[in-house]
Amino acid sequence: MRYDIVIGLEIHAELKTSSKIFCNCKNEFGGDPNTRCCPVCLGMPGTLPVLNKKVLEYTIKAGLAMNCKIAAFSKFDRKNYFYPDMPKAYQISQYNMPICYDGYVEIDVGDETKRIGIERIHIEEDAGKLIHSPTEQCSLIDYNRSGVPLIEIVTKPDINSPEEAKIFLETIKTILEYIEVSDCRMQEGSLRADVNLSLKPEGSNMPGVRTEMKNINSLRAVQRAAQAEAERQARILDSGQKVYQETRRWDDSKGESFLMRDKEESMDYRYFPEPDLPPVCLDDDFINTIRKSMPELPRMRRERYMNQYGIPKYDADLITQNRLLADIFEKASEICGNPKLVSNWIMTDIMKRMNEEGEKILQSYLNGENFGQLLLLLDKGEITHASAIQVIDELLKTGEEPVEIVERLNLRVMRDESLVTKTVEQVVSSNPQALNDYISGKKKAFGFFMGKIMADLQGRADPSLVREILTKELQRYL
Amino acid sequence: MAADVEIIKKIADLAAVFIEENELEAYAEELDTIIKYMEELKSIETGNEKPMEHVLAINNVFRDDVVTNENMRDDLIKNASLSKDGYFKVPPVVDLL
Amino acid sequence: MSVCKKTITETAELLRSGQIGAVELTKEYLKEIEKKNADINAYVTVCHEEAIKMAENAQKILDSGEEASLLCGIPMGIKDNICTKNIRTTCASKMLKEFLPPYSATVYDKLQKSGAVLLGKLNMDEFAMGSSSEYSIFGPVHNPWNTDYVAGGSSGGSAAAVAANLCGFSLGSDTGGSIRQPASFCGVVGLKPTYGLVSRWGLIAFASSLDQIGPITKDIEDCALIMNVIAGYDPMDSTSVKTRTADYSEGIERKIGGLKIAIPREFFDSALDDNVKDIVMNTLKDLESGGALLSDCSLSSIKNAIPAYYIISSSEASSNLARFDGIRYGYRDEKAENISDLYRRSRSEGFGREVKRRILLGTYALSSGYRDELYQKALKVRSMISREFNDALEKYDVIAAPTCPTTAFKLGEKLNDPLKMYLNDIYTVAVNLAGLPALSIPCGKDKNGLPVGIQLIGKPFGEKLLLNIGKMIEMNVGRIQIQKEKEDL
Repeated sequence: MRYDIVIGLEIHAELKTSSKIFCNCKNEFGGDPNTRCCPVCLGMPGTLPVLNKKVLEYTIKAGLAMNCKIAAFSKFDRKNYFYPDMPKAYQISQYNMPICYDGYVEIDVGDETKRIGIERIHIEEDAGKLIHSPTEQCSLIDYNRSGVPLIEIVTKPDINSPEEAKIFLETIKTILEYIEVSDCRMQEGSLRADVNLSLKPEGSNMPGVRTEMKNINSLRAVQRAAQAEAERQARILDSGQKVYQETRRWDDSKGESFLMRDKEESMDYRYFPEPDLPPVCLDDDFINTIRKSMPELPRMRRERYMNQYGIPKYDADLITQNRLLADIFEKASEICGNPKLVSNWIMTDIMKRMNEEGEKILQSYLNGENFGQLLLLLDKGEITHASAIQVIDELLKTGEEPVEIVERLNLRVMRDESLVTKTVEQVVSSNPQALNDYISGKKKAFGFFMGKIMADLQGRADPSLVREILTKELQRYL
Repeated sequence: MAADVEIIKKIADLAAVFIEENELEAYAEELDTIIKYMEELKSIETGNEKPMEHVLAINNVFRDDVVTNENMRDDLIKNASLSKDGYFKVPPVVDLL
Repeated sequence: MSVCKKTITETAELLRSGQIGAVELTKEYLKEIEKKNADINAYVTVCHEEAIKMAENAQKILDSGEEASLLCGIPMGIKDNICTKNIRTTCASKMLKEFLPPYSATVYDKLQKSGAVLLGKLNMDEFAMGSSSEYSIFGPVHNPWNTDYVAGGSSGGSAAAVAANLCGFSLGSDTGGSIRQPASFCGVVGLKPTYGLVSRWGLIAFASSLDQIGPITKDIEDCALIMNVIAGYDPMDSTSVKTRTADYSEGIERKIGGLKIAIPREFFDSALDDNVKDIVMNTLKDLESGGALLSDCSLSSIKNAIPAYYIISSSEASSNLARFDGIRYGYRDEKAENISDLYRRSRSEGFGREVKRRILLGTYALSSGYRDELYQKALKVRSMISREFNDALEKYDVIAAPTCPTTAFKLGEKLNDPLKMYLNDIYTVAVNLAGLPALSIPCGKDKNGLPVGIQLIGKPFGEKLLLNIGKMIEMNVGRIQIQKEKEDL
């Protein structure tokens, strides 16, 4: 029996505001336990929440970036349940009136573009962290993360393969990084994805039973988990049994999922409107101000690079994956006037460095300005390819301007015709054996002369000029 | 019965409150009386009335994104009867995510 | 000592003229508490050292000659669900018996800044759930007029302390009548402000959309003084409103002619005790002689107020009280070996019976299957009630009613019937549902010598008018005080 896979994702992204969602505690990963907390995010009796305006702005940005409608009227609700990482025993979230709804995100699957529907994006608060004590039989709770602002992005069940799920998550990650609302570090938990998956007989319209999978901590794991779940459900259905609606926990190291003790589908959250927070009413002016402050999004940028700069799709894709990289590309292209050259250098040298040293290189001394200056020198032929690499190495260490480095290391290609001519004449005349070899047709002698002349000129001469003058000189003897 | 012992057990579990076996009957009776009275609401004609979710007609109450709180762990943890190395301490939780 | 019988206005005069020092004044009150609290049980915690220190500071301010609030040096009691930093705040519950909040309620901060002196924390119904202050782990509050009777609830300690002259004034909280009803039972003035006027930051929440903190005082002018200090926008409370305060003392003695007073017949129904009815009607007739226009009207949605109130307040309470699990603070069952037991047993042992009843009721009302017909329905009824009241207040200046259907009842009389206890609130709960301000003024005594209160309900943020009318009533009726020992006269 062949099955169609139906996947929906629930993605949680931590917003990188300075302070938490309802209090003025620092919003930062890590720290000694319970040192970034206050009575509000600890839910102490008598405390009250006050909404961080930036959270609202970032959420709207995310909604606009995903082509969502922004609700004119939106409110908060309490989601009530007991768990030790939840200090109030309820989470302030949004139930039936989220800030953003009814949007879509386009992804590239092979050569095709596919639209994945976004059901909604809403605001909620994060919970604390529970850890097992290594020494005693107990659990320990750190509430530093309690009150960190989250957006939850819920897709429509439009994803149809594990690979698509991974691509989709990558796309979301890029978008959120582009608009700078989240740093999307899955390993730190600032981006989390839950996978909802069901199977239906191929071509049928009857939806299958959906399971939910949690604890997916990397892009690779999304694909692996979805794949494993599709296979697990297929095995069940093939054997004539029923798939049960359940919540499962993915274990990436084992490559399989396990039934979780708490069956979420039987949880009654008793949602009701949050009385401590007034509703949010958004007018067009407010939304348009935010819309105007949005950067150009990855796909649009990619299209533009292809059309305006003539960059091939593959290159444009890779460059626009990372906003900082794309910014460097654009600035450098503007300065040196040769986008293809810039693109080639990014695809080779810069990418190589990124693979070796990570993305921090994009926040180092290297920027669009100096990269552009360097490639301009190269494009004009004032330095050689090898010298350019040397300049980048130096630049990353010292932050000097490329021109300064070139001067300091004496890398400028020399084109003094009279000096070259003198040297050529001198080398030729002082190597009669080689000259005889050349006249008698031994082409190797040319290389010999080139080597000697370049060495005499400390390798700084423009090789093509030397070649030209040497050829002319040797002609006289033929 | 609006509330019998079975319902009380279920609700008590949802509310994370333990009711002693010998008290269940009493609670069930009391709550049954109370709920039946409250159910008078059902017969009220509310027509197109919208649920009043907020008393005040205010919207858009925000604060600026600034950090003003510092480490106040000692104050926060002093009311906890059990803590360890700056953490709050509980019996082992089985389903750690 | 007779100085404890004096109003804030009178006491402030004595302090400024040097006839009594702030420390001496505080000591007098502490002596009274020592003498009488055992019989009344108004105080749960008395802060001897704190009080003297605060009085010393107040004296310094008075001596310095700089502009000082009239509250400077005035001793106060605070209901024990209002957080006072590093001073035990229990909500009269085993759950919070040892709780030392590391923060103070905004209202307490404001009062401290004005120089008022904290004598101690006042007894109440556990977590403010009750109408008699009998649901307290510290024992019930006794009505100072007759200690066999209840002081009312849930701010029973706050009202009793003022009536028995155990403080200059107190703060209570009102969710369904918890300031007004005890004020009425104890013959003192109690004001529930408009929802949003007084900050709820630091008030341990019972029902978030209904709770308000308010003053309980010996007379109307004192009430206005307190409001001038505690009312106002607080950025820590998202439900607190901006720019709606006024100078409540200004023009308080103004004579208002042509006042339009609505008298809803639903507040004068068969539940109302005849004696109380007569006294309240007489008070209203006095106002009529003074030029007010009394009009009969009908607010039919009032009869739905009790079920709507109890569903909404219990639902919110079930959520607000879910945080009490003993992990970060509060009572903890140390024997619990797993998380499930920790929650269930700590909460079972930490909460009293009435609190557990309300948590169960609220959880039930919000649970799937019942949510639409109970909780959602209650919200619709709330909307109806609010609209009906506001419509009436368009036509009339104020709505008048008795505060309660009866005077104080005997201790233990209603403990066996929770529903009967709830029906006490019949004249007060609708006001909280609509978020309106309401003032209870003592207006007489019944045949047994127990105080009767009249309730004035006003437009949103219309406290000034209520105090004005209250002053007129007070001038007609005179201040009602307990006269027990000959030496007190």
